[in-house]
Amino acid sequence: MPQAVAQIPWGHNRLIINKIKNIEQAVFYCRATLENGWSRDSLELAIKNKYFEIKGKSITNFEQTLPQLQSELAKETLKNPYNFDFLGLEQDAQEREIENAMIEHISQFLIELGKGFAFVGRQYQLVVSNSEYYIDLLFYHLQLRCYIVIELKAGKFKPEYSGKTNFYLSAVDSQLKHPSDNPTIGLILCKNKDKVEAEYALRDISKPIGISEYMLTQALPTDYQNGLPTVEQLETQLNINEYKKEKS
Amino acid sequence: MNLIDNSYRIWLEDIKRKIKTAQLKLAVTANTQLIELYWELATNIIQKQKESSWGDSILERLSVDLCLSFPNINGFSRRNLYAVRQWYLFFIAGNMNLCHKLWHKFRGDTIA
Repeated sequence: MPQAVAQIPWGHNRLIINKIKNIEQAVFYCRATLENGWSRDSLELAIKNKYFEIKGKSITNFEQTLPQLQSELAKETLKNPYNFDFLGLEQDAQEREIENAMIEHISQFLIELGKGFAFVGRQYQLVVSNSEYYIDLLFYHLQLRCYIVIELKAGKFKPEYSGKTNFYLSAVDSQLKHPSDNPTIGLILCKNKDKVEAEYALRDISKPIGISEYMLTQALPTDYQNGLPTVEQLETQLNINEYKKEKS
Repeated sequence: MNLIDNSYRIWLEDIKRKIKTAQLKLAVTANTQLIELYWELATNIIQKQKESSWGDSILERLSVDLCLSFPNINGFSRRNLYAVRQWYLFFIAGNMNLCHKLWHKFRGDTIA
């Protein structure tokens, strides 16, 4: 097996075998892919445009073994699904990617909303009883004077998320919240396939302080309506962003 | 103060580049391992088909068994195993001399 064959993704290999019948040309295209950092689509275009006929005779020396860092080929190699599922990481990697994308979009949205969301941290660490926990996103709301804990999940809402959010809200209340601050607010965002579901976790005001109970709600009480985006706004925003991202 | 910031930034970008290069090298290594495995699989399949009279049914059977044992791996689908075999035969048949030379060169190389 020629060296260049093993340096490029399997998808590129399959493409070459489908389109090229001559081994000299096939090896050439493997090396050209590496040298030019071609994505699979770019390779297809090069073959269609008869790159070998144009350039084949003049290029003799391919030294490269690693694609250029910024090239499309590098990106496709890093994201190659054949490699990911071979390692058994695919599910986790995809979920992390979805969650990362959501973190970025929702952060941008809330900051640009101009309602007083101040970014505190991402993967914000809390230590409770010697164990470390990480809040996906932590904001402080300058008008409502409270912390906002945001949890993002890829996949459908699971009951354990509300328990987890409750736990984080209580932890933030006891460790970060200033006595003059208002109770912390939670926001859970679940992205399942194309849909994003949002739900707020608000302190149940009918319960006395000291009993930390939070209710999940999609409707915002009047006090919060000016300061917080509605569930509809959040869901719409995240769906728009996801659509844009897939297009690009 | 400005100078320190600048030289730090340049240094930081260099560090980031080293990290990204390491990530890419790892991804390429993983890719090479998979392609080498496909080559070896194809060698074994062709060999088995020569020895026995099973024909393509061995590919079909292998695909089923591998998919059962490795349910998350898409590369063992029936379609892909056929593609692996076709790919292998292409490079083996294409130019025996060239392959022979390059194969040995390849075996001796390590990723820089």
